[in-house]
Amino acid sequence: MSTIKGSYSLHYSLQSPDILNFTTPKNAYYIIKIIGRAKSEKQRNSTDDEEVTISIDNKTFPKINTKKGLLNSPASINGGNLHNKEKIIFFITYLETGQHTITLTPQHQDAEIINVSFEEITINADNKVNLPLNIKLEDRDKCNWITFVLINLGLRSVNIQTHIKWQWLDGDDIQIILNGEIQQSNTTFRKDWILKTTPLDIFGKIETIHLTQELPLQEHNYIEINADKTPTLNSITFQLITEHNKQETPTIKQYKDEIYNRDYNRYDEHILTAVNYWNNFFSKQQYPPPTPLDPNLVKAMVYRESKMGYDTRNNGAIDVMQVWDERNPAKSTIIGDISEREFVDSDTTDFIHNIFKKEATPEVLTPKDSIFWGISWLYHKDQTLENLIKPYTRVWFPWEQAIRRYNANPEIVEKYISEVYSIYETGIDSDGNLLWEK
Amino acid sequence: MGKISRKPLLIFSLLFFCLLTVLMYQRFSEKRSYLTIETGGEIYPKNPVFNAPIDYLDILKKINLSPHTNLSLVRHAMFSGAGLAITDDKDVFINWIPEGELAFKQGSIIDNSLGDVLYWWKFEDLDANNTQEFMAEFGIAGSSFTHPFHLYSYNNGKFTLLLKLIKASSKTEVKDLNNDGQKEIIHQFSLSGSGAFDKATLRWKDIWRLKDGNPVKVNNEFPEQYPELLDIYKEPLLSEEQKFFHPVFLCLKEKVESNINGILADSEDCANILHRQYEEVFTKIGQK
Repeated sequence: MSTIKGSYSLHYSLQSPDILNFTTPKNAYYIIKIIGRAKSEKQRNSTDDEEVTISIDNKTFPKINTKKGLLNSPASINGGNLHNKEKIIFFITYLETGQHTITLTPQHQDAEIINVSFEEITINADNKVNLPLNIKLEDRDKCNWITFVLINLGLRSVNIQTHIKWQWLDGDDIQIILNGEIQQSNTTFRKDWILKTTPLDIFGKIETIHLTQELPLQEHNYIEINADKTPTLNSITFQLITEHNKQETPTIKQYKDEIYNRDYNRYDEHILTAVNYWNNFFSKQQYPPPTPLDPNLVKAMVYRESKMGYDTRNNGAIDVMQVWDERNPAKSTIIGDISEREFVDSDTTDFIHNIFKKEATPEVLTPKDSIFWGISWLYHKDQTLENLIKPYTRVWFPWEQAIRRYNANPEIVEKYISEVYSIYETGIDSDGNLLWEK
Repeated sequence: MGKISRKPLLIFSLLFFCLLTVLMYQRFSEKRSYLTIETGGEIYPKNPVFNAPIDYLDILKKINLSPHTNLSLVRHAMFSGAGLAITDDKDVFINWIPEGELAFKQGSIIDNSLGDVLYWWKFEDLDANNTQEFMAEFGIAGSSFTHPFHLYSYNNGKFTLLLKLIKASSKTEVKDLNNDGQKEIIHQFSLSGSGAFDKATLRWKDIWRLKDGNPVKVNNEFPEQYPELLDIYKEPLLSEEQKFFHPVFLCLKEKVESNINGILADSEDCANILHRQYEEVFTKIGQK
């Protein structure tokens, strides 16, 4: 990295706004690293915490959904949270050739900037950028650690590889916050900390977090990593959404109906919410699905199963995914009358009714419920255990296979697959209606 | 008093002791093995099948076939799917009954003809020949609501598959419809299991009976069973929206009327029409 100011051996105190100039050699994506610390009100013997706000080329970084909330923003160095512990902020942005400025503005005179540097990064063909970091900072007690700020970039997925270890009476823990939303773990206790250690982890372990929660392409997105004790961030890989691939972002396709004037888009929000929920649920687990579920595939299924609830037979107005019927053992399995197991982690499998009950009460009273539980069943049918010897490993099928197992009639299932994929890929239903155009 | 020779008694005792030893050895040296898996703090299978061809099989239910054999409904401790096996009185696996085998590949059943869950099973003399047949209805977890039905003859300890019905949105009942002492198998199903409309309206009903030990369709012998289907076809036939299905409904209507008029008809021609229509649509889609 090219150092702009400071180094680990040359700290400097920030007494007043400091404008740092740097020059980029070419138009490219860059990562800008700022390491600093700030004191809390107690450490300052004052009634106000120190806080350093940052701007790049006069662009500020307020809290999400605000324009002026620069203080307590994930992109600031906040003494109230840090209590004079180090924090690293990485800004990932596209910069044109030429001179640029970074402005560091302290509220008082009790901040320290340790290092400011920048480096060109390469975003590969599938929009992935891999950053081998190997960062370990000083011991801390549940506070800010590292923040990534994506400037005019969206996020499809992120892989975070860490090394965590149990240390005497306490262990390393990691919390991830995406645009203010704490990513929940699948454990019963301390769900807010996505990675936790126990005394069994005395020799340390490498854990990878894979998150597929999509962050839209917007002015700035924040990925905050908070830490307890001294974990190591080995590497991080982002799959980004850049301006040129913005169109490829999976948005839900709008269906049209020129014959009956039906609103085939009326459950789009329920589909998106439920798909995001289950994508997020499984992406946090070990062996996450290699390809998240596409909401458009679910929409095609809902259309084929019940024409978005306009087909009222077989309780189609409510059970739009046809998962909640006494004649379908899927319902009995989800509520626990029939036991079926699913991978939880490398040490555990559990009955799916136990896993799902932690998420919501299994019941279908509305189309929204049918979509939610239909997707849970689809996800269940998309996976299996590779072997029955610990440590368990999970295998994911292609989504087409999950849909085959979702319908499950050996005689007609290939026709069902053709119908769903025809709607999904070409917009044409089996009656020949064109629901959407490319 | 004459002298009694003790020699034969000694030989008899010795032989008896040897026989007892052999029987005891056989009894206690019998190998019965099974694998367990511990998950969620519990050990599975709970009621293991011993010496089974695949591991972790659990016996859910049994029907006694003879003093030393049972028909057992088995399930894998981890994966879905039901199987039917003959086991002995100590739950040692003997063999699968035809089509009752459980075989998995990557956690999915291969050729899952039986289903995921058993709804009912019973022995019953269908053709009043003093020999009981065995029949079972299962359910496959899926939006097609498929309930496979299997009918077997059972003679001299051997099961032979007579009839296998795997249709969408199906239900099978066994009743003596005309009180003649012979029981009929009433199998209701849909020609398609894709979607609520298909399952509810593309309905058909076949009535089976055993004749000379073989299942045959006797739909036309029960004309009173068919008018109810005409009511189901009425609405889609009038609907503009369901035009795609009109040829199929017209076919089904004609077949129903045949049975009402005493001429045997089933839905196979109509299923072929439906199949051809879909093929045409998908060919057109492929061309686009």
